[in-house]
Amino acid sequence: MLESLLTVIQPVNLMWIVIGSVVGAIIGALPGLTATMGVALFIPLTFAMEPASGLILLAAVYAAASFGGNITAILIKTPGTPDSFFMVMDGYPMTLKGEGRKAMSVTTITATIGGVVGALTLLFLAPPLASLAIKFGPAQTFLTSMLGITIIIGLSKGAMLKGMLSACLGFLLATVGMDSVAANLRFTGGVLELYEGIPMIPCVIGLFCCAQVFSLAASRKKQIAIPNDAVAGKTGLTLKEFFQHLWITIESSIIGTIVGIIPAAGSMVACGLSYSEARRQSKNPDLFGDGAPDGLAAVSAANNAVVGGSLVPLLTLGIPGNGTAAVFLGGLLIHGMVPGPDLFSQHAEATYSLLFGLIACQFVILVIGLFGAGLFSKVTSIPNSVLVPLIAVFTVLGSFAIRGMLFDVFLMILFGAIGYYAERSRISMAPFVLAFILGPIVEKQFRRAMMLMASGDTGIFTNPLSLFLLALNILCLLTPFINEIKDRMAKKKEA
Amino acid sequence: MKKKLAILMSAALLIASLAGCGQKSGGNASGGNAGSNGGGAGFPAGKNIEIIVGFAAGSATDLNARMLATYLEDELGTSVTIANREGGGGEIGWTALANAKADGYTIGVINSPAFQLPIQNPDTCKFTIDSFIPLGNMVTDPGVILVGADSPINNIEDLVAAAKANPGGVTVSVTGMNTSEARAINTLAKTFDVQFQLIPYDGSTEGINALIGNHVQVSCQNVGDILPQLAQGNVKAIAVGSKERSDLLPDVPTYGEQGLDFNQFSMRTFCVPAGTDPEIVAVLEAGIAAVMENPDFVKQAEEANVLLDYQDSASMIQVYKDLDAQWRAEWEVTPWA
Repeated sequence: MLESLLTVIQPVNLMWIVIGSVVGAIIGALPGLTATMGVALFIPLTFAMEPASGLILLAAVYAAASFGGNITAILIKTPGTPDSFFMVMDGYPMTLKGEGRKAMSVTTITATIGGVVGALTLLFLAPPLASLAIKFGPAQTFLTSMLGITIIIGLSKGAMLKGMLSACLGFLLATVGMDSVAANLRFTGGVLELYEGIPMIPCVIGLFCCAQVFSLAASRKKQIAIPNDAVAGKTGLTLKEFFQHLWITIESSIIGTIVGIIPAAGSMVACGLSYSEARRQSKNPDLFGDGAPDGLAAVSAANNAVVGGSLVPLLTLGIPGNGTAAVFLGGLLIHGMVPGPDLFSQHAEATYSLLFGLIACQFVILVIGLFGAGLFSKVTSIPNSVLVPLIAVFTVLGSFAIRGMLFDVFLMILFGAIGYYAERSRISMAPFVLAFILGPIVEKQFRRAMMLMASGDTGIFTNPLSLFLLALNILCLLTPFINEIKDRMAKKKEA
Repeated sequence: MKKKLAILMSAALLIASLAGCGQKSGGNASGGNAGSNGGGAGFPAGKNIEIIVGFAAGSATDLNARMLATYLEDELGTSVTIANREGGGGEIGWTALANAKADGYTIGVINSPAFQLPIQNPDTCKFTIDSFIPLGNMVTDPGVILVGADSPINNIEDLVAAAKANPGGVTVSVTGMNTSEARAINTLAKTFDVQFQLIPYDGSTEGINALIGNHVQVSCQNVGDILPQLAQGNVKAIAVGSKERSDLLPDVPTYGEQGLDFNQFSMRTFCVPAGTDPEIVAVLEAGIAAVMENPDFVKQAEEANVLLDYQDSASMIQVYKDLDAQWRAEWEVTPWA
């Protein structure tokens, strides 16, 4: 292990960590370029490198790209990756209040903590936790993804009908394309481009980034917001505030790590769970969705903790927890490193270098985020007449880059119009995105579980793990209603 | 009013940058035209060659293509890039290749199960074996039937006995319902008059993990995807889908040896659209042949469990013809979809 630590602090490897982190953060920040794509683009570059250096570079790209989306999501409401749309919910309102710099500090520090917790878990607990991943069959994965769906109710608080409308539209559009169980085509209208379903990234870019282009263009304001140093303070975040958010940050990091380990659940579920947990604990839950720093802290920590978590089953069993981890697996195989016990014995040096590299790059992210916070938050004072065309160009490029199809660009603009009018009608698009991304996973796993039941395997929903998840689901489902009743009782008392 | 104008302006801007994207691909095409006017002479003349892959970045096909592309760059003295046009189980990418300009600057990877599509969906599938000219085959990956490491099943006979004892109760993970894996298990069921419960998974890793986690009892996959798990003793191979036994699994009998008359494999072949100048085809074929003989490439492929199987253009044309004829005959008797 010491040897690996020395490998990581070699100048050449430190250089790769910095390059990987900086490029990764840029990739994550640009709409349409995802962590998955970033890792895939860097794999050929690692062919000629030492395995340790190559893997350190890939890990840095992966971790930094997961963070990069936060920057643009918070400051200009254009989440670079679908996963970072959760940062929009509280980050962007903070920016509008002139607290962009503070929001940047919150997201950077908490994301670093999340990333370190995930990486440390990977370093010390990978083998015992790996056996957890394998226990998740269709029934258990279904129940885990359902947790993400139950969050929709909490998100729709105060506007249940609009929230449900948004979610239903998401579920409906998610059914387009070839269903992955029976391979039947649904609602494609014979359009070849829709055989694989409505592509997720152009859809998310449209709903958020393109809609933001329209609404900025339509607004009378000359810029998004002027950073307000009087409100935010010079450091952006005081030590006192940091300790206020520390507990929820650590809790969210643990949630993120565990959800990351579970195959197919991913960042969306991790962020959602941490967010509702943070709101449950918060002293002023009404601020959530309107610029609550603890909400932003929770989702940032969870999102980055998923990285380390998703590498646990990947390195020990070769099971990718999400799409990026799947590409990462390809990077390992190219260096002759086959996931499994061999990785921690035969290839121990390269493997531990990767793990230490993952921790090291968290600190590069911290530096980028903290020192850049002041600079980045100036983005919001760029005149809209300059910013809007820039975002517009990137939305087009980003949605074109995914599959190289103009079709996706038109689709993106269509979703931009939907997003714009939804915002004007005060319909939140968050339930839509959750339903759109988790809908197909839930459907697929449920149908697989039903097929297993049909074969006579009837115990899959009644084993202890499933029962635990089922109980968690019921809890998540009831919590918003219980809170509502509590609120009303409190109000009655006051009256 | 001002608002509407602003929205119109930003919409116009979007369309302007759209035109930029359109021009980019248009520019490529006209550059290609100039190349084909000059025949094969001077090809590739330093211009970028694009390889269309019908699957996502990081998939087995994509990794194969990327590995070959780095070596092909040196052979041809020009840049070679990968374009992932994933979707429809590969159909989108294959269709894109069939419709690409036949100037040699766009090549693609065809996975042999592609040619099931024109047979089962003749109305919607927009290509046939005649839409492509093969340049050379890179990989042939035979199918394999797996069970859990401590399963009492040791061969197809045991598997059939288990299915007879528990009709419809033996679960098999496969990669989608229209794939060669599903066809193999359906043919097995028909041959021995038994029933299996197929459970479709996305990709081989998910399907194998379902087996390792004891969520299904059997799994049908390709050999190239299972070697790591096999080496660790997490799974047990009971039959391979190749005609002859695979060198990688010499102790595992073939489907044919165990009474199942079916060959299951996936060939990954580099192709250009039909109509490409024969001289250009020759340049590309020679480039791929040279890469396939490069010892560094072979070593790298072996380390990554890539089952290289080079076959030149002429023999691949014959392979495609045979596959097509065989599958059409099969489809007449028992449609698999």
